[in-house]
Amino acid sequence: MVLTLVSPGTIGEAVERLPLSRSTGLMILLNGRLAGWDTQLHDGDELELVPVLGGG
Amino acid sequence: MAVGGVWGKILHVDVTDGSSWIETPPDEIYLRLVGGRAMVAYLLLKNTPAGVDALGPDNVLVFATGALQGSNLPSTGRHGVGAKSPLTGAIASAEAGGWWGHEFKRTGYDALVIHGRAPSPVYLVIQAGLVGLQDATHLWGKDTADVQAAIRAELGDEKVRVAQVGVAGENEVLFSAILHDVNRAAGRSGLGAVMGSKNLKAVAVRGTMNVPQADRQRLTPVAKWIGQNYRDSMEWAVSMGTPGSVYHHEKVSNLPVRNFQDPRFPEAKSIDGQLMAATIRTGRDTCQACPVYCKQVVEYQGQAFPEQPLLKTSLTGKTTIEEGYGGPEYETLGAFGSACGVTDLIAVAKANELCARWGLDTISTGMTIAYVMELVDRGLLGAEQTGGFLPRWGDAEAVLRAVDMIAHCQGFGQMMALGTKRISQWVGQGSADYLVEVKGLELPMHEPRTKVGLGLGYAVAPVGADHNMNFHDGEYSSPGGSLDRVAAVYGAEPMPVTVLDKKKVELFYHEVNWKHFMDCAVVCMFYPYNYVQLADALSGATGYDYTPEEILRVGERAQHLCRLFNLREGLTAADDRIPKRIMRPFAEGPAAGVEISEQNFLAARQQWYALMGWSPEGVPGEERLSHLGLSELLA
Repeated sequence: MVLTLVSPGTIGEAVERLPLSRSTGLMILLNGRLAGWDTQLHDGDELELVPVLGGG
Repeated sequence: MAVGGVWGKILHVDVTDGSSWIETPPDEIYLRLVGGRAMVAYLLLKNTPAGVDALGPDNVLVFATGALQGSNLPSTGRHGVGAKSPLTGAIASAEAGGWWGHEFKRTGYDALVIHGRAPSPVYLVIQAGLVGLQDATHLWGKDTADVQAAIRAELGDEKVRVAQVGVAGENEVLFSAILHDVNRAAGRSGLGAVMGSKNLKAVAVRGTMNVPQADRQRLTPVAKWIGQNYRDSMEWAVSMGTPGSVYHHEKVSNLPVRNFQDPRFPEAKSIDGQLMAATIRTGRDTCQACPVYCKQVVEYQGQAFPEQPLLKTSLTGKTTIEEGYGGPEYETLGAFGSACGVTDLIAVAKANELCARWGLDTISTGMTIAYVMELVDRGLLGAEQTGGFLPRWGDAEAVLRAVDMIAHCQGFGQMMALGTKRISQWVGQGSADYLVEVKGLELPMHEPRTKVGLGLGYAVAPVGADHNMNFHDGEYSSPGGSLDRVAAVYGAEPMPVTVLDKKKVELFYHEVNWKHFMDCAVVCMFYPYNYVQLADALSGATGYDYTPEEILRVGERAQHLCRLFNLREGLTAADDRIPKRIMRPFAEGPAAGVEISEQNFLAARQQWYALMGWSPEGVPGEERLSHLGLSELLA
């Protein structure tokens, strides 16, 4: 989905706007690279939220 | 017994002559250790001499339940097993789910300590107040399902639960497992070899007693909460279970590929749970008191799946997979799949079945085969050394052949049965550069270059590289979930998975204490309980007031006891390390350039030692031992 932000913010600020329901931890990919909750977003960035388990 | 949730009795059996005796530890032991790993380590320290031969009669094999076993709180149908490991020389401490632990606790004992070595194969029966050895000569060499059926028939009771070694344990394969209910393994560190070395084929249990709970009303709200919430809060487990995560793990480069060489496995969907569910999965299974049914059950009759292009197998019409042995979980899909470069789901599921049939740890078995594949690939192992066995990356049928050779110690299987570290010592020629183990225990299917805190965790876990008693950075990279759980004692903000700084190590300290506590109460790590809920549940079971801080101290005690055992057996801080390969960053993929430098790692390890009250050499200090009440217990 395309998320339109009024002003550039962090990944965390963007994700908090999404109606997410999850039962695992999340790992974050920004333009294909691992990123953190506080990483700054820029116009055109591709963000992927990947649910991951701790064990198994 | 003044403490609820336990019987106050530990059963000792010497299989050398069949003698048995009951130990009645003081209440303090139960209150401070709770059970599981802490009890295993305590009993090992108490019952084995320093420098004990892991495969000799003086090693003891301990089965230990937790104080919550018998409470019927969902997640508590588990137990711990431990001994000195023949693979690592450190403590072996593994947990198994299923039904055996519950049945054993209902026999009226909290733990079982096996001593000695029987002169010929035997199995131990604990049933209706009786403890006795039976001849097992006729069961030696048989498949686990056949052994379980035979024991039930001999005892005339289908409800008997059986813990046993397969042929791999009989052959003392250094990473053989103890199987419960034929499909739940106390898998890691070679506990099967310890049991096999004692000529003990199986422990059959049948209990009839309900464990008294001190205050069930304190347990009820926790049980009610999980009953109302597990469908949402454990949706991943309810819907797919662990195999559904293969594709996701690959996406973030957490799925090990070709012995942890490569960051990507584009064929991940060919070994993922989605494909399994659409093809060979026939059902789901669960553990005692667990409504989740996360376990996989698969069956294969040799058929083709023309409508499933991702399922590419060379085994159509050549093999079958028996349903009774369960099905592969995430670790197994990785170990026999991507770690070996294999994309054949049928072969991976068959390898899983063979490991349950013959009693092998799927992780170390898969990783040992992967290591041999790499040495062959690099020209460090040739036909003259392996008797002509030259497995190549992706060769699914070679994987199955290797499992057979290992379990039966045939040909080069005798060398593979010793694990990767010993293979490397034998091969030499720089082969150690490609080793992926800690303390001799092969890494499980989580890549520390995408979860750097886990790298520290693998280094310092008392058993070697284990994922269950450990810290997974992805749990703490966004708000909610695990960070909410920690908030009871430590407020932390989301932390990037690729950073190992002081805040991360502080969080690591608390959460690793929590994980070890879970293995003392012996609670399933998949359950989303928080510190307060399990403190309440334990208070209800025992009748003593536990706080979140105190249950974390239980986990810290367990680690101290394990550490004291390991130090006694000659391990040092030098054994708390990260494999060289893992310290070299990937050049591409999601974790490209992420490096756990030597300096960063040593600083983090030093900080954690200090948080544990240990010296810079990793030796527990008197002050912390006393604070934890261990000086007194060990006096």
